[in-house]
Amino acid sequence: MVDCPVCLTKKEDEDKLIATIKTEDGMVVVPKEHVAILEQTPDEVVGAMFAKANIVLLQMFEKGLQGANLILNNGVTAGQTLPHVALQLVERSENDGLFPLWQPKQLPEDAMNQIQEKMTEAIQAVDSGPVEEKPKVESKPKSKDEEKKENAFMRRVFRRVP
Amino acid sequence: MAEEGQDCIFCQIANGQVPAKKVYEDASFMAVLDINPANPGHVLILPKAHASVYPQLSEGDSSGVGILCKKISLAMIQGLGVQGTTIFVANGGVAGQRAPHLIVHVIPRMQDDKLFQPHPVTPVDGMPDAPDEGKDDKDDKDDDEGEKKDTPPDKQAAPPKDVDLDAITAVLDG
Repeated sequence: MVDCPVCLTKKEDEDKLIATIKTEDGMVVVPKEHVAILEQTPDEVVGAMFAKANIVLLQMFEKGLQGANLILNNGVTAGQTLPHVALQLVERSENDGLFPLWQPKQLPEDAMNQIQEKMTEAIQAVDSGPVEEKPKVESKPKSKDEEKKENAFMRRVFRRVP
Repeated sequence: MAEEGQDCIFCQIANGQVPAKKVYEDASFMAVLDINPANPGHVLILPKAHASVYPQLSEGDSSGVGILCKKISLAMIQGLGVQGTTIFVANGGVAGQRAPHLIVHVIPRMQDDKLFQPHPVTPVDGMPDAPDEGKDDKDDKDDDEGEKKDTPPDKQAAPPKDVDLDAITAVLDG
């Protein structure tokens, strides 16, 4: 995409589906083709991104790194800042102040149960895919011969003639 | 130190031996609601085969967990009506890992929930016409106010011969 900064950025290690961008504190894995959000990214590409993350993280640990985060912010509400899906691999060190852990919430049991039900159904719906409309079967008008045959059959039935 | 099987409570959850609020299961993964969520609907994806950190996943499971994240993210958007999601993995105690078992978090996001500040993407070769990424992460930190991130660790360190990934998972108070 001509005005996407990620599409225009120099990349390394490109393959058919994905590419990596070396950053000041790690690496970013991106789909090679422009795509804005995770839900629009083909499964094949998503799988390749997360498989690549595995390799990159191992390389980071082999260099002596003690910790790393994998983060993908999906949607502006989630803090996505680039118009292109990006799986960030962020190198961590002791007391670097990054990503302070969230304050956990406490939800009542019935709320949790409702969410569980909604999510279970929603995931099943995603698995099922979009509902396909069944093709309408149009009944074709009967020919006169067909009508005659049907009427004859009905007369036999009523007369109980074998 | 890695715990497996009977010693790992998350292995037991992943394999259905300990009850949890399951939302999805397949041959490789169990997805459950976090009982102490960051936001309502927060899902934990647990690999059924024990792994302490992400690089211990097989290639197949690495791909698979990504695709599952996409599925769960879409389900959150369609089922819970959220408008954004964050996928987050902590590898190692210094990265915030607190459990001895790999957990892939899929977190529904809400406007101004302040869970994660956007972490800027800063390519070493620069980014043409990047959006305003000059924003610092100084403000709106949850715990510490405005700590600047430190310089990344030295990348020139000689690689050790054998990588003990389990040693990276320090603390790990399940």
